[in-house]
Amino acid sequence: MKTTGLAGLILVMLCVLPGAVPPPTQNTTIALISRVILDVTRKQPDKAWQAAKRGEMLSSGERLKTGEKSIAVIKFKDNSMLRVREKTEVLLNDLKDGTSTLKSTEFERGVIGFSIKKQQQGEGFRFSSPTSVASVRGTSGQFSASDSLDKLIVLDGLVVLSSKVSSRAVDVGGGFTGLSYPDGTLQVRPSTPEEKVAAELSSRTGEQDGRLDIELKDGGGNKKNIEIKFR
Amino acid sequence: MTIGFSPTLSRCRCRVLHTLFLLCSLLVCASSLQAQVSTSISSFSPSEAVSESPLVVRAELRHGETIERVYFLYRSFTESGWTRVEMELMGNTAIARVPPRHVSPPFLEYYIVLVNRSGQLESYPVSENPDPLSNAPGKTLQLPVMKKEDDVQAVFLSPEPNASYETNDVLISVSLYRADTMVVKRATQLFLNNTNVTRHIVISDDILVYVPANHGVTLKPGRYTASVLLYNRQGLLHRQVTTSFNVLAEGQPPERGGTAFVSTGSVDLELRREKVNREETWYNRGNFRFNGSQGAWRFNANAFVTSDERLNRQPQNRYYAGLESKWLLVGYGDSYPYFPSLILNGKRVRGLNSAIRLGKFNVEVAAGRTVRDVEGTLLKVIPIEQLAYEQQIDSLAAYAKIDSLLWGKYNYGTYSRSLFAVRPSFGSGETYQIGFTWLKSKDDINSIRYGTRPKENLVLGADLLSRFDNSRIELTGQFAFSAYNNDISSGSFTDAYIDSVYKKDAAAIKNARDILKSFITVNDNLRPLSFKKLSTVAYDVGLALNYFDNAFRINYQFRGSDYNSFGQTFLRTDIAGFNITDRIKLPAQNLFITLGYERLSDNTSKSKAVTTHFTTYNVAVNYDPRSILPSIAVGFTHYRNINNLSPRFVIGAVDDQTNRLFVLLAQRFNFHASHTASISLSGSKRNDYTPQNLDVRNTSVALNLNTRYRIPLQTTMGFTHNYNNYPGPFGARMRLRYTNVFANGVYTLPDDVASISCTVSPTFGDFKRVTFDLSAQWAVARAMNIILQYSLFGNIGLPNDDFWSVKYRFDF
Repeated sequence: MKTTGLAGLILVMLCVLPGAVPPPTQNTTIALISRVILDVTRKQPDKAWQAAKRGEMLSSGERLKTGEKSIAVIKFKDNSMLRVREKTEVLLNDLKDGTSTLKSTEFERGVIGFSIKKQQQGEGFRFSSPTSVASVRGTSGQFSASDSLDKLIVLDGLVVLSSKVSSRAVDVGGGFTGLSYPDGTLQVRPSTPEEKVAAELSSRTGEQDGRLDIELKDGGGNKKNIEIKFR
Repeated sequence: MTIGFSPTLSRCRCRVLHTLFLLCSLLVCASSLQAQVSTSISSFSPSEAVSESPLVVRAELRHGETIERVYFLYRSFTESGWTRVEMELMGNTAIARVPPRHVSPPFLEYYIVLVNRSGQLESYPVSENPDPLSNAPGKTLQLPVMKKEDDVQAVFLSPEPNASYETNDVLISVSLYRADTMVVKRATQLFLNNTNVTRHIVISDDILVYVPANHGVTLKPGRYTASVLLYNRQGLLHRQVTTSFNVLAEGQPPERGGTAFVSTGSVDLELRREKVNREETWYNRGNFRFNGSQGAWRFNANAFVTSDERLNRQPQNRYYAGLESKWLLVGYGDSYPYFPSLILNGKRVRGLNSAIRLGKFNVEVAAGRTVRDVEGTLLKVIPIEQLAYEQQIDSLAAYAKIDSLLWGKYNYGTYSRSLFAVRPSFGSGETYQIGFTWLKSKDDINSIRYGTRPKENLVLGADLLSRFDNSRIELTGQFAFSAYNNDISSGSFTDAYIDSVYKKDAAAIKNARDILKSFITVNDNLRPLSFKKLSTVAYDVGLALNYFDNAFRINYQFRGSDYNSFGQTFLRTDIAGFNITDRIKLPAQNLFITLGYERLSDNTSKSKAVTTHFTTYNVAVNYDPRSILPSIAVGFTHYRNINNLSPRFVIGAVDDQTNRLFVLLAQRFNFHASHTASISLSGSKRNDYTPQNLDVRNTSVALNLNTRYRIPLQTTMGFTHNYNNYPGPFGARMRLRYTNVFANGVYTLPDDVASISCTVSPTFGDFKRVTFDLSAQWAVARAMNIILQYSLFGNIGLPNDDFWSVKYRFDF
């Protein structure tokens, strides 16, 4: 039928035409600075450090640094959140390979709270320190790195924690803490109440002041509620 | 660059690819479709809805000039009765609005009925019943409803819902990262408390940002609402997402800045040619919209002008202008006021639409015309000596004298109908509101010369809304009493008439007439006839509980057999009973369960020989494993209708049951591109146990593959197979089996400068047709678009139909 043939030809043209279009450029916007407290600076590639402001966009390849008693809250396009706590420097990257996309946050030392939205097929989220990598697909918690120990506290969901030194990997589930040592050793244990509170505070999406109610169990399995007012 | 997924993720990805490659192969071989067979509807949108959000559906009509009215009939998953709304006709587009409370997962079931100018009915999809308004087609359509939290087309990165900020910290940011390819991102609009702030937003890739402080706007302490509106390539609203936040009073001045007048608007022009059955029709249409705001005041105006406007049909042109603030609304033109749903709901009123909302006390008023007078037309000139013979053979027609020798035979025209409704209420509705409604509607007897049975209607009502425990408990109720006169042409009773006909109660009737005639014409055609059996009463009572991830609701309804409101003409009457639904969320297990039970009965006035009972059970489960497995939705509904009339009395006997089952599997995966694949199966089986044996069988299978390439290309491939078996005339069985294949591609140039879309959709089987559609959109400038569209309908055994249109759109 003439109609079908014509339509088929146009569809083929539609499929061929895209080949002439170049791939996406590198420095695309990947996140938004949604809150800045005190001393927060950012550095674009080949530029000097400058003060970061609320509402500014961050591109792939940018660094962000917090000073003493300072905090930055970063929102990614999928509404995943990072709370960069004091004296932490991070490098943000959006890595593309074919149809796969990986959002990467690298840092040497410091503390990051995170609340990562469920990633779709072909998407991933990764935190990395000099010794460890945490691969996330939708969870919340806190990741901290220091010269002596990397600590991953997971509140819910599942995170794969791997060591760059030993190439080993462990699954860290909700309510557990993963420890990564400089010698490549990995360890998983239940989170302590203090760790849970710290992770809750870090990973709350709050850009605002608020109150936190947490249910904890003591050694006898008894439930207790604590209320924390935080800023 | 190599991306280093963890070993676990890599293994998962391999399994995903393996599983989904098989699925992809299956789908590519088969291909899918959302379209259904219709000779009058060329497209329907949207293809999905979001729960608890207002839904606007659009049907594009072919040869719209021949269509007089269009009805949208729908029901949510847990309801058995159909809600009917008359769609607003604007040129070739029919539009209906569905309230948020009816939009709930897993789907909204619907069909459309078109009435042409000669009164013939056609349904979409095709119906085996001659009157689809009374009997739904065996095969209906389902509009998938996604959970509100799963809709990620526009995501507020900031502010957070219900969070509190100091005024200088307010940042509004929206991510369009997962917006559909059909969305024109640069056409996105942002509103803050209904003030359009789009001109101040900064857009970078998929993120848009608005910082009020950067534009000299100091937000006054209080609660604010931010709304983002996404538009598709046809300039139609695709999504509206809203969030609320608070601005703190601490340290802030009480004044609000930003008093400059801000305005936006658009002009749409369309030139369209249609060829149907070798007959060509041209349409010229223009649409103008204007929105302006200054401080807390907003002004809206719109006008739609079409060459379809004719004096011998209901108005096709539309216009409206209104001024609005938080506490006042004054508008004039065509509007669709929403009063309590039993009384006035979505009816077009041309006239005044106004409201005063002070919180503790409010008043809403609607006044105008709902029907335009259309004079009857002369059918035949009759010599006076043949008049008696003509009246004998056609006693229903209208006859009038032309001169001393000739009489005319006319068809009846339509009276002009006025409507006035007022509703004072107390309370803002946040925690409670009590309202009282008065509605009066009447045909103007003098508006036309040749008409029959002018009517009059009076409705009194009260409604209550009460919320407790942060709205976790909601109690609602409404009551309405109607008085309806089916023929006011003779006016109210005269004293002489009462004395001659109602000799016993003449005094009492005269007394009642004297009281009531100020409100409604009192004669033999008035209902109710007495207050002993309140057949003109209707009421609803509902209780909703939202605890422990359960949304539980129980509702009792009573609609008397003679209840009638001219503001709500499609209410199902003569029905009483209750409906229970429970929507259970189990987020840890990624489960969403819907349970429903409904028990209704008719014969509310006990005036029928038997009472028919309508019982419905339903259950639906949505499960998203969040792994390599596809998400799945399964639903089952059982309808049981029965009365106690013995089957030997064929007429009036009801004894049937229907089972309906659907299964939907959906999966996202990557294979050289991002794909979303779905397979749906649905079937229904109606067994009629009366001697009429009106059994109906329906089965349909649909496969769909939506692909988004790395380049700005999106394709949709689909396949649908339908099988219907239904009763025909004289006990025969009829069969309708057809298969539809659908292929669509949309290619978009960077920055939405231009796009081209092509669709091919052949249909095989008992219904054969090939449709082809080609459209191109070009952004001549940032605010100026031209859209060209050509559609061809290749009919088998009939002449081909086609249409083309040129649309121009200018935004300012």
